[in-house]
Amino acid sequence: MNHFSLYPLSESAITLQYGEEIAINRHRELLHLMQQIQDDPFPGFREVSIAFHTLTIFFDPFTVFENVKQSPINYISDWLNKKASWLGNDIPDAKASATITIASREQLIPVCYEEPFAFDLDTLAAYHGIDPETVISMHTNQSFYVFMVGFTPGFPYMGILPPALDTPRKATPSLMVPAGSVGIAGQQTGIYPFTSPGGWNIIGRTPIKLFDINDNDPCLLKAGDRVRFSRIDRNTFNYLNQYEDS
Amino acid sequence: MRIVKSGIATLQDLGRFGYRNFGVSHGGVMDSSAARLTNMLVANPVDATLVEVLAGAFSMSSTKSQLIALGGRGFNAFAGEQTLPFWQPLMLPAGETLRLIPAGGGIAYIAIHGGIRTTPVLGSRNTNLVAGFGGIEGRPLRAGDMLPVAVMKTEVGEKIIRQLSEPAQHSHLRLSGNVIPDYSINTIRFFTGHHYSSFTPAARILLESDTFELTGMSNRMGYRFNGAALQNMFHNELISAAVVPGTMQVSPDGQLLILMADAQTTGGYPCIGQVIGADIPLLAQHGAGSRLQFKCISLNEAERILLEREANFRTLQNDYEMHFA
Repeated sequence: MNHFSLYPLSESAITLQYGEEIAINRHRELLHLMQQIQDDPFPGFREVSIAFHTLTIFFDPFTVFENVKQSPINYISDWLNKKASWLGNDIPDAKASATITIASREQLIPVCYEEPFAFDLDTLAAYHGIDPETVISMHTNQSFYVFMVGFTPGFPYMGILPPALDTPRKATPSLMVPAGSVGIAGQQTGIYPFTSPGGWNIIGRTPIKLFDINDNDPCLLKAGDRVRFSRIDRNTFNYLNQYEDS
Repeated sequence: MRIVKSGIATLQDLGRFGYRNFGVSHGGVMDSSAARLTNMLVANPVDATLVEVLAGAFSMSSTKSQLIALGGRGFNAFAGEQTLPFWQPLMLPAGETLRLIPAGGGIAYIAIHGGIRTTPVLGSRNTNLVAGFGGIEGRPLRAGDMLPVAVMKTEVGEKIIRQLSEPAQHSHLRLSGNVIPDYSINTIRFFTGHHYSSFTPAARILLESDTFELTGMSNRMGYRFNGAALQNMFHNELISAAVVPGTMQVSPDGQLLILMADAQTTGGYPCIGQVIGADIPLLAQHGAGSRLQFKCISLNEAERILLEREANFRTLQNDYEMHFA
């Protein structure tokens, strides 16, 4: 009996869902499975991506068909069912391998929680009946886990926020959220790498670029990383600001 | 090749694969059928980089003669005063300006023999407008841009050029009508999405019986429709997961949004359906005001149609090369 389910996303992608809600331990298992898929793919494999409680495998259906002479969706589903059969049980090679083989870097992200960056900090604090200082200390006192990078290049979805910060998205999304803005939506916190529309409650801004195509490794944060926010003032922000062109 | 008038145009290919975990989507052309055929006509690999023109007057010139082809729809093309046909290989003489003038709306492709050779970024030349990389400086084309091109030493390419250089009618080199995409089709096929059963029975019926009008709020990221509100039986927030071009999302107000080539990598709206791969190019070629219907087919059928389309394309490609052998 499998602890996961599969659903086709398109003729060239299948999603595996593991569990009904967000959990870090199951996400670690998905990261391990993702590594196993990347290490030993099938002809026609394109890539595998991870989200909160899902993995999605992308392939070229015609190449798969030429190799196996049967429905690519059926073939990849069988392949994935076998590959993932250990989910929720013991990991085959070594019980602890999920934590050994998956890098878990801790990154320090400086954030300025002051005006004019913290558009929604006061509203969010008032919503919870606490003062803004308490919001900032809750945001900086624990590390958060990166579940996925999605939406736009480099945008990290991090959690899990304490219930006291759990805040619905804004009813009317902002048309322009500046690059570097740090926001809260539900039990997640995230950072906008590029100026874009968005509905998250903005509580501060980081001077650090989350996605820079001119870097050898353009994407700063990866699924599985841990992030700790450190509070900086305006002067430090200006000194560290990598977005000076914007 | 030098861009004289840019209209709204970008450089595109068939996708950037391997970086979804960076939040980088595959991107690429909106109408892969037209792009592949157009590349084939100039003896390019199907994934060669070409110009995608979405709107506005576009023109470019070359100091050397170039083997080119035009595909897609919605534009009239000229070299000087002479009208240029779509869907056949053409020689653009040295010093001549190729002009595309909007006529009816749609997306046009310009393939140049050898492909456009800008520097690949993360393994692809397509333009990622959100993060601003790929193509030329990660932005739409501008007047004055130079597109690097280079003649490819392929036997087929040389033979096409030689044949076109002879003073004769070349209309027999036009693709036959049965292989040119039929853009008049306004019934788009889909298979059921992951959240299909969470929609009310009435919504599921409406999706196939009602007509949906494409709005002006449509771009390379997604096409938004006006139509009957599609009610969901649940109102809990979904956990974000991967979405792809063709994903039929329903926003909280019940309206349909179909994700297109530059869609975000993940989404949290319920997915009522997935447009079949073979029909995404046809959907892409519709513009604001188009009235479309949707028809549900099985995933097996969708897969069969896609594999058949690919097999037919490969046969056509082979026949085209044989013609010049």
